[in-house]
Amino acid sequence: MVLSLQKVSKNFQQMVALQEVDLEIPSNSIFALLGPNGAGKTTLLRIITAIFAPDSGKILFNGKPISSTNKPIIGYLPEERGLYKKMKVGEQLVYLAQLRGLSFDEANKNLKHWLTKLDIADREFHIVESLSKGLQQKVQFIATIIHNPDIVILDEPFSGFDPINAQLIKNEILEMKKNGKTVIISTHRMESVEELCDEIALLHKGKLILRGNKETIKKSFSKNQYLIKGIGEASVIKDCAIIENYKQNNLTKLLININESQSVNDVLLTLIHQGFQVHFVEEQLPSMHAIFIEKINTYAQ
Amino acid sequence: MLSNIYLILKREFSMKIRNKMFWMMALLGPFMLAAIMIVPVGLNMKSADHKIIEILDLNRLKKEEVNIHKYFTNTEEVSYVFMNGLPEDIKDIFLNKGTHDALMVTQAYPSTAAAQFYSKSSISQKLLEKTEASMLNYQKDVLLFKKANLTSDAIQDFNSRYAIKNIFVNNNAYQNVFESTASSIGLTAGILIYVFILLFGIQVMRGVMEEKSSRILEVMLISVKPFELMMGKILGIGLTSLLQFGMWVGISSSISYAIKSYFKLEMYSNQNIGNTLKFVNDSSQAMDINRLMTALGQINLPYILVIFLVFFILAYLLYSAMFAAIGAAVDSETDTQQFVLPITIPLLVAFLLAQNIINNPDGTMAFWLSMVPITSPIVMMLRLPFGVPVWQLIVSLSLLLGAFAAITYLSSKIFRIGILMYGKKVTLKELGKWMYY
Repeated sequence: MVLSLQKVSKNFQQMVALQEVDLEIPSNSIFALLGPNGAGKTTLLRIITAIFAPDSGKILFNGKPISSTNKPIIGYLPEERGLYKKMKVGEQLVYLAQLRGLSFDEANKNLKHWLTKLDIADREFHIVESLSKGLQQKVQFIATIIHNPDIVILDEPFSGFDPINAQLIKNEILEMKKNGKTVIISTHRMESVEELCDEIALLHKGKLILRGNKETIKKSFSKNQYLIKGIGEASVIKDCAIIENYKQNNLTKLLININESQSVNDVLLTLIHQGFQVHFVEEQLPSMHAIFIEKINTYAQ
Repeated sequence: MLSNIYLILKREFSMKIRNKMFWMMALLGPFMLAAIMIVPVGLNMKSADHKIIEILDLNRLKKEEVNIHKYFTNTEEVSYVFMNGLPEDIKDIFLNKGTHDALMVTQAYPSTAAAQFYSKSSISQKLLEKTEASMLNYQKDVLLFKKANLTSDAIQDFNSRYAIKNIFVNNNAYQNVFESTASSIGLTAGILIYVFILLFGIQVMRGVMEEKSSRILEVMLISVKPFELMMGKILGIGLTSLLQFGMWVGISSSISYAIKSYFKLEMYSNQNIGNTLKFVNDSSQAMDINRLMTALGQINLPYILVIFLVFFILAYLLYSAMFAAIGAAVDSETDTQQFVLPITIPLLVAFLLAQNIINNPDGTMAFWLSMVPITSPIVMMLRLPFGVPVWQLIVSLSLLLGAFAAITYLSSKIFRIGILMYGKKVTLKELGKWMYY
């Protein structure tokens, strides 16, 4: 476990922001922190980055409490982006890298590497203000990781990026994981969560209401639904509800809900007996989107 | 921690000196400084009180012969009183009992001995010249009256030989020059501290507000403590203020050096005084120079400059810590008013009381105001040229240092909470609460 939170609580005057949050974030993974607006995500991230101190509870990095000496192992991209607008791209990034403990030479070396990698090497001497929003976001992203941190915390990392640049950032995130880093992403974009994340935690009103491995969670929310595509007509199948049944370009698509007593093979056999030619079968796990809504709604009730 | 403060300081400094405003201020500042110094002097000149000058004319002519009253006209500035009697008696009364400011005694024709001008209080150069010119005109007419067929050459001769001997009969004259010099030095130093506190304190405040609104702070706080951020900013801007001050002094002294050498006005060195005295046949001018030199000799300028810098730096640190806290607490410029005003009021009060303090630099009010940290930097500057006991300086500086430490501690607490607080209208009461978080 690279990062573990133990019974972390935080109040702002009368408002409870976080309530005894326990969380284990494994190393070498991409972790998603989810939750509706005002759930306490930003507060939690600020506590992990030691911008706020918790009222109670502990935060441990590799078993040790956070201190100013191990703080540079974190890189943080806050949701509210901010840069010194009047500074040049290069000098700004070197300045921030130096504040994160790099020497001037190291900072310059890393600067060149990242500017080239994100394809903005020609902007090194431009004033930040003069760049487009997307390019500023790239600069901001470099500012987050220029000191090569072990834990990278990204709050809504894809906002403001076009699909091509979003893909660029996604690839960087995946590469970081490959290089043994831990990436924590807080986002409302469920498709990114589906695509990138290994572990998730769902925060609601300051409490952790769901956490664990993404696939395991999806399985646990499974409704035994299967999508079957093929040629032919499908009529009634025994012990099985057909939710959707329609034709598209001569291909019949069936969405079925199987009883727990049955297996998908039984259903397929029945279909084949009926003369249905099966082309495609896939279990339909609920989307993160659906799980998110379901969990929050049931919690609200 | 120190390396972070150093990095932040370095950035602040280099960004500030890259700014055009800095260089504009550096060039315009000396003119402002000159204005600051000239205006009080001008005010002093206007407010110079009414002088009464006694005239004792030993020619003792009748009104029908040459009417001396015609030559000396009373103005707002001066009244002339014509005396009668023995010179020794008149002089004795003037010196020992009289309340009049000056006495002029002319010798009777045909003596060409200098007229004697005794003054007890300082007589302005302008008034002195006016009185001398009147006396010369009168003497010339006396000469014409006595020797009706005088050639113009003889009149020329008279003009060149006739002189007025200027005599200061007690210390008051020196004292007045000393007082006006000391108070203008004190006022200038006080005004400089005031101007620099406001100018650069507000830059600290604006800087924090800018960083707050550009949302850079959260990016910074991942590796920097709020205290480091605040101190780096205050010290960086403070360094630019010292540089700015140095440039003001440098530029204004080069300007005054240029003016002096252009007009050959190098009268303030001892060697030149001697030379001046040799060449100036108008002894009153030489006396004036002498008076100024004596007065300046009583004021230890390098000492004042050192004390000034110490107070200047501490006052800046104290006030900019408060300004930093304000910048962190508010979201917009308009919200700053309610906090900036209470901070600047003590400084204004110090100035409103400046005249009283200068009149009585060792009085109770002057003493206490020069001890209380929020007013002490300015009030101490006003008192300093008149001489302040060392123990008072030490106590005042210790209190200022203590206040600086306390205010920085409280400000950094407000700063820490304020910088991540958005969209909240902050009141003074609220700020009070933040100090105890």
